[in-house]
Amino acid sequence: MFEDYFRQYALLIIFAAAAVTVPIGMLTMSYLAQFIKVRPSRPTAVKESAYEGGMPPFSSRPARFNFRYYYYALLFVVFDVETVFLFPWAVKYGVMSQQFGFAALGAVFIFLIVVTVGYAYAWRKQALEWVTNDDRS
Amino acid sequence: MTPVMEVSALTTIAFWAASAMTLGFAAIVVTQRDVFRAAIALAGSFLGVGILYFVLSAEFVGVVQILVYVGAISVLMAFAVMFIQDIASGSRPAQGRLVGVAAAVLVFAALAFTAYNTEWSSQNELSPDAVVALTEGYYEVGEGDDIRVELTEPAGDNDVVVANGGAFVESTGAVGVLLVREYMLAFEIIGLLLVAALIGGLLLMRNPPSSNKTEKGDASV
Amino acid sequence: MTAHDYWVLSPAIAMALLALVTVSVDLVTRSMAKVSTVAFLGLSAPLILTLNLWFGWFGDPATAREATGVADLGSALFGTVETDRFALFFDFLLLTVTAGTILASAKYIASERMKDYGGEFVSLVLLSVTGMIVLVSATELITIYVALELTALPVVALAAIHRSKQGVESGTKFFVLSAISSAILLYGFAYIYGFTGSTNLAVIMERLTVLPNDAGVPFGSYAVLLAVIMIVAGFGFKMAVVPWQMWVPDVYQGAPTPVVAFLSVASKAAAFAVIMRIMYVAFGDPALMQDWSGLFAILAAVTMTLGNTLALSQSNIKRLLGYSTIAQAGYILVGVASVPANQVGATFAGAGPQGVMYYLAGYAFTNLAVFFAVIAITSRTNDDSIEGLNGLLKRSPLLAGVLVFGLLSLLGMPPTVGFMAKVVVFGSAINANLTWLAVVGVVNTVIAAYYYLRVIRAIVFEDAEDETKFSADKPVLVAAGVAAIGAGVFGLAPFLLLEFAEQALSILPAIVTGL
Repeated sequence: MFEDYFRQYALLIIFAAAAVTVPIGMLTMSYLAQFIKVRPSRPTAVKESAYEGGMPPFSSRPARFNFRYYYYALLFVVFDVETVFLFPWAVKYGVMSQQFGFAALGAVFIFLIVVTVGYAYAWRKQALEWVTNDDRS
Repeated sequence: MTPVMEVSALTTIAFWAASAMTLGFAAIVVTQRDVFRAAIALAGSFLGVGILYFVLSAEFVGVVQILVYVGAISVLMAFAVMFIQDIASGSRPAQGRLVGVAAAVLVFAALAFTAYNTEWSSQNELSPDAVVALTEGYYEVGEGDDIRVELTEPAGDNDVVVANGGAFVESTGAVGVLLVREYMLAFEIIGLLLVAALIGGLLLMRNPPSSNKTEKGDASV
Repeated sequence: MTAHDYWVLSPAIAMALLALVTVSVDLVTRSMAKVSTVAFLGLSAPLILTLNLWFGWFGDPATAREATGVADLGSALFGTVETDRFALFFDFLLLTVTAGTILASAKYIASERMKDYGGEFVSLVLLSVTGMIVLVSATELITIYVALELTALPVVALAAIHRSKQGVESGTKFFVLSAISSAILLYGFAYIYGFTGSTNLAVIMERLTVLPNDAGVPFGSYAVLLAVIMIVAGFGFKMAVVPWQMWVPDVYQGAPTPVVAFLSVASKAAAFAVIMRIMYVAFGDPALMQDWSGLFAILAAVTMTLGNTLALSQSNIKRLLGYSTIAQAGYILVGVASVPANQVGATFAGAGPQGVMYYLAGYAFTNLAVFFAVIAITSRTNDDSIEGLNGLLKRSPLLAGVLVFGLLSLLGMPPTVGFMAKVVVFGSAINANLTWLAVVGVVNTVIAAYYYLRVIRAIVFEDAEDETKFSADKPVLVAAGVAAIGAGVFGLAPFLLLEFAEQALSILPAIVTGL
């Protein structure tokens, strides 16, 4: 059983190797192709400019993002962590409910209630809305 | 003493590859002047650490590392960098590099010296039965606080019998059991910690009352 | 979880519930007065439950213990927490400090500047206190770490709550250093776990006595040596001892004063409580005790001296108090260093740790009185330089009186609590064969007199530019008054507190308490 443990990842390693080799191989082949004149390389200023909807770019600066995206990133991290903690419990819940009865459910229930207060906070403070009351007024 | 865990060549290669990946990307993080590239390299370093967890057969921690750090934290950092203007100009070279390097070398020397000169607690100290239970799996018989552990499935028992894969094979399930038993308090505190992080984070992101007007005037995409 | 577990954890559960209720109340009402009233009155629940566990009002926990067959006093959840009297002592202290902080910041919360953040302010303070209450009773490294994070994270947001330049700087500094110290601490925990194979403090102690050790190395092995250094370093940040003190002056100056008052007292008390528990429960072997006693003695000497020397040239009262708390942490460390294992006589068995608890309690009340007075004064004068205090005696005799009393107590003038605490702590140092440390402490007290008296001179003898009289808002005045009276009572009747501290010292290993 234990010897099989690492062996199962051999498949994953083969997959990862393929995933890395294919794109790198494509780029390399494309690079090599220019030496046998299959891919001519004649860069011009227009070709090298960033593509921006077919229009000439306004500035070389990176575009600025609305700050509201950060709310989503933060909420995502918080609830991501929450889910991560639920996962191992869910894996073993069937077994634990037989052994410990309600206690197995109770611990997670308390956890969820606590996090729900945080969720309610985010909701009431309009962190979930794109256009807030402040903007409307 | 013969080690309980036989380290295969594959594991050794995976360990060194993951270590090289972690350290290589970390070196890019501290030397790269472009903050955005440094953030991407940091994600690569996180991924290397995640693979190290897998090598140590802590799958759950490895998945968490990839999901939370490579997935979520990296996004957070990328966003943060995008909000900062003039990314291209890069960050100032850190002051007092020499002191930093000296401190890092000293700390590393102390840690490495200790790691090599210590007889760490290991599976060798466990009884052979416990090692079999952890690696090959075991059976739990009974309910609640009166659980006894058997290595083979008991025949004709009226109690609840639960088959376990063993902590080294099925670490995710083992973490799940610990979360509702030994570490239940820590688990609930993590819930409170998430609430605190949410309140604190949203609080600091909200527009300060005085600068409401200027914020609205900004061009946003 | 059994009923016994709930019973033992009741103060922490009540505190967590209160924090969540406060968050919810803030969501449904816009009145900040309501939020702070709920929080203030709600604090009585964990306070009553704490006193209940100490005195055994509603059913003695001992009988519950017999019924459930759990052997340890107040141990719960597979030995991850232990609500013993040591924890209850600090629970009581922390809850009192929190009540004072909320009372003193009532006006601040309701102010226009805090219009949108008042509820968050109270909620974050309560969440932080929840972490502290778990922290002082945790007996397991993972629980300790998670609780520690819960105490630190809300403070980061609180320090930067106004998003002023200074506030954000102080919040960022606190956050980065807190993260680094946590990393160091975790590394120490990992080494301890790797060496002993357990995260439970009591089991660590058992294993350390059994595991082979090298007599030539302090702590018996390099792993434990490095782990203890890293654990002390990690908590050193929270206790604000040198060389992890650099965040203190900036945070004290930049963060809102009520936050600083809370931080300087509650965080420090919780950090000292947990470091004492770790040291005495996990490394309480007499041989190990002597080793870490030396470590703390050096830290104490350096911390006192540096804190006092740097305080001499400060012109901002909050910065000055920041350096003053560093020095005070140094004095408290003298008590931590005075371990029973290397004492000369048998009469002072628990004096070192007992002194720490007495000093912390006295310091808590004194420092709160000083900070509350500073809150009251700066909210009126909007000037936190020392010159701003000129002629305060004429402008506001009551506040000036509280401030002068507090400063004298911090200085250690008899018959204040500061003096008594210093006597107990330095006395225990002499008893523990650390006479040189006691001498360094006394010399430092003399240095400290210079800058404390400078402030007092400004208050009493200098003439103010603006002679208008003013008084403080009632809640702050009540809080400052209660804190000052508490400090006064503990100073005049030290046995009151010392008795409780002695009872609370159940964490000490049996070899010491058996004396």
